[in-house]
Amino acid sequence: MSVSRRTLALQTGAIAAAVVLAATACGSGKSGGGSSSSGSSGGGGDKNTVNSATVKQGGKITWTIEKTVQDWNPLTSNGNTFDYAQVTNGIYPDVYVPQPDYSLKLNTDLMDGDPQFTVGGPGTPQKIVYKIQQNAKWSDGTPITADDFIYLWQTQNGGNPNIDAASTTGYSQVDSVVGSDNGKTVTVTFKPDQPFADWKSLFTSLLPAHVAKQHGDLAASFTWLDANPPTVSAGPFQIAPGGVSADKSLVKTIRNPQYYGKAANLDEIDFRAITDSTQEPTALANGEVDGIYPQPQLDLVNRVRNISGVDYHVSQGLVFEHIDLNMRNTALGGPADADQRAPAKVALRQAMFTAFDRQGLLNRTVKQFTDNAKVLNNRMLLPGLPGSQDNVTSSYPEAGDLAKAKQILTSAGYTGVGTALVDPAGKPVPAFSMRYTVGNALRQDTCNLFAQAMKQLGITVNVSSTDALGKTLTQSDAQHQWDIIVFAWVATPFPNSANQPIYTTAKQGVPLSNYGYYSNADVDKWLADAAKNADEKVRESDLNQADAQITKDAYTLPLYQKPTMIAYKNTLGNVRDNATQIGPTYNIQEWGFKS
Amino acid sequence: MLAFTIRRLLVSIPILILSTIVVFFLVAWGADPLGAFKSKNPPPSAAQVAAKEHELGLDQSLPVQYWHWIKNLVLHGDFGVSVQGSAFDINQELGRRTWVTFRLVTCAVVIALILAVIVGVITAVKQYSALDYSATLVGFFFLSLPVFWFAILLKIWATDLNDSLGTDIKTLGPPGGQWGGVGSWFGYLVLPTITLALSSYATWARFQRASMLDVLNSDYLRLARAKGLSPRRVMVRHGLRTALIPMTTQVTLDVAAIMGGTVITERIFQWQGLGTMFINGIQTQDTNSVLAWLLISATLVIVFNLIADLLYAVLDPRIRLS
Repeated sequence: MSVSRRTLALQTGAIAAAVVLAATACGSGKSGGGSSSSGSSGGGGDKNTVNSATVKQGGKITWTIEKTVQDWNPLTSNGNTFDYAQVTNGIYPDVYVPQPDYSLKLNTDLMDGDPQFTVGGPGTPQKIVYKIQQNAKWSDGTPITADDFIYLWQTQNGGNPNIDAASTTGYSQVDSVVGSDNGKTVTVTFKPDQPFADWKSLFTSLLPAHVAKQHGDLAASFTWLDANPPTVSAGPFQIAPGGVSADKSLVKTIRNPQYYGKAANLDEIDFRAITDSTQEPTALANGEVDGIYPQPQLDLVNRVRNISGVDYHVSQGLVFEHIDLNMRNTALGGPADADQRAPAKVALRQAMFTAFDRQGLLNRTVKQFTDNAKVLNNRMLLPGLPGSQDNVTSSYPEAGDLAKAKQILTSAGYTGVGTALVDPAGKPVPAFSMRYTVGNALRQDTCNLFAQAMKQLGITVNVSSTDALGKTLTQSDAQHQWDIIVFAWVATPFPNSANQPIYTTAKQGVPLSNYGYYSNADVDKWLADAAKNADEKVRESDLNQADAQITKDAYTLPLYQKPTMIAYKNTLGNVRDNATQIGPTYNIQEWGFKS
Repeated sequence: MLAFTIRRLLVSIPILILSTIVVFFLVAWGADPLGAFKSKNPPPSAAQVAAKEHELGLDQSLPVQYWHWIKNLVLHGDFGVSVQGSAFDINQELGRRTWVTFRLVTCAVVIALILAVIVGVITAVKQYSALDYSATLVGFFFLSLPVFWFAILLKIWATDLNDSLGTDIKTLGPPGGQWGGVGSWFGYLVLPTITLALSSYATWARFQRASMLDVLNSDYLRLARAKGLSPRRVMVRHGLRTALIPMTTQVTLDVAAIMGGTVITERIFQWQGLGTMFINGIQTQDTNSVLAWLLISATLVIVFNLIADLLYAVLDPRIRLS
């Protein structure tokens, strides 16, 4: 790679610095060899088969993670971290594995056929019967049994306040988990009238109950599993002896010789922590790592593009940006839930969203490095998920419509449109405070563009940053720290239960994740049904109706999905992006060097 | 000398205590260690938050929190619990990371010092020559270089060099601080050392030049020359030796600052030293971790100040310690 292929800034710097480091600079011409990089911006083709290849046995690679591993239990609140999961995915198995196209695939190495699902109804609890493969065992020879399922349920059901579980969703609705057939059959019975539609999300990261038993009670063992690297594995890889460096920046995993499924192709996969994503392309170019999975930015994508012998793909992820309005603001809503339904306030919110040019925002930001970026028009069922449809553009055109927005305000009785907005009661619309996370240039741009659009309606928006997004969001009511905010939600392949805490009316003043205090009884009803209805089509309909209603009520405006990027040496086969929470290592045993 | 040392050490204690108070309250007011935990999706229950607050002692008033923190630190040498993860032990991390940073800084300081003294002396002796102007230009160039930009540039050059010559220069630090054999050792150190050394070199070379010029123009050196001493003896034994005294003080004070200021270099080269500990602590709002870092930095400044005073006293007999 020659210096002439660097960015202009670096070229300029290189020339200047060459005054003192001429010798090094002169030696930097590349000798050639190696193929050029190739890349794509996602889109076409089957996401599940990208880079499929016949691979040979053996070899070692180094994969990049962005955090040093400080927690080893993926089910604790701290351990439930994307980068840690990249390491433990090959060690603690899941019953269902999310695929790149967001579908769910049964782990047939672990499970003996599809679980038997019994629909719940009045007086009949929902029931699931799992059959574990007879030969499924931990790397120390202990069989994988119902005990492992029971341990997982007991630590995740929220029954023990000393257990720091990442999420109790679904598990708290389970009444019992019982083993039979020598522990190889597991019967999960839900509480009466508490069915759980996303039951396939349960029993991920199966932990070793027999190891836990050696380290105290439930809470103590759960903490022990968090503080110590896995001593046994039920997946295709295991931690190598002495494989964790003192600073936890390097974790060596080797093929699990006791694995009961198809053996992994690679002998060893090392996970190397690079905590500054901007340093990842250089490490990839220098051969210190073989693959990276950073959050893409223009400069980073350009640098990866210039690395020879590397394939990269930019796709649309499940993290999406959105603008939320605070319904407790008296101009947008009010202290009572009913205030937000006042026609004038609904009109104001609708006009604000109508005036904003989402396509323009996209063109100025993520479109610069991925052609496939699109404006997002569904908050619950993202493109790719079954039932996804456009629930937004009929109300708020992607390119914005200033004239329509002004029309909405005028029709609702507002005056001073375009200069200084005054509500139908003759009261000036106050200036709004719009917040974004400090240091996030993309969100800062979003805020500034939104403020410009609002100015054309006669609304003043003051943009400021926050260095504690969580604190700012949760203090939306009492401290009134924001009127408008831009941040991201992480969607999942399990939308039925995930959206309920975000949009359901706050109960007794506790908003869960509904930080803007949105309230609509119909939305509450649809989301409650989606969380428990056994019929997939009905659930999709519930979610779409709720999404359309939120659009109509103008509570949140979805903007775009954040892109993801994977880059890897082009000698590697079967490595591909998986934008779900499991990440690219979902199929780690299939990785290998192309034959 | 012993009495002087003891007196300085005793004076350091209230300074350290004061610095812990200032640092503790600044950090405690500035960040919520449970900020990330509270903003998880789905959000933790009030009971979970309360349990965490109790576990970390955050349910007590700030003065009580400080008292527990300082008590644990003094009696047990315990810096407290980290929110960065169950496997993150602040005490262990501090010990290991101080060693990692110390090795990195030592190499850079030695190289920078040798270069600075040589260049400083030569440019002083050859004042206003082409060599002097060139060295001054280079020095100012290094002084004005943004470290983060220069470090990235170095990494790109190193990658190209590896490609073309087959060398093995690393752009990432050694995992666990273990760097294997001599070749590997060199590969890991070369880039961060150059980055750290060049900015220090530039400052010190200017300082050494000025100090040397003072000495060269002094009466006692003129007298030495008049007495017929050889130029080499005049320069090295009488000139350089005296000119090194202020330099020694300057370098000793700077080392503490460099130890605490390797944040950018460590981050760019991914050395898991004190600098990255500080950055990670800030990013995760891990108050105990940040406190530990700040306390170590404050201690280093005090210790190196003491060393500077002692060295000054040893090197210059005119200093009256009493």
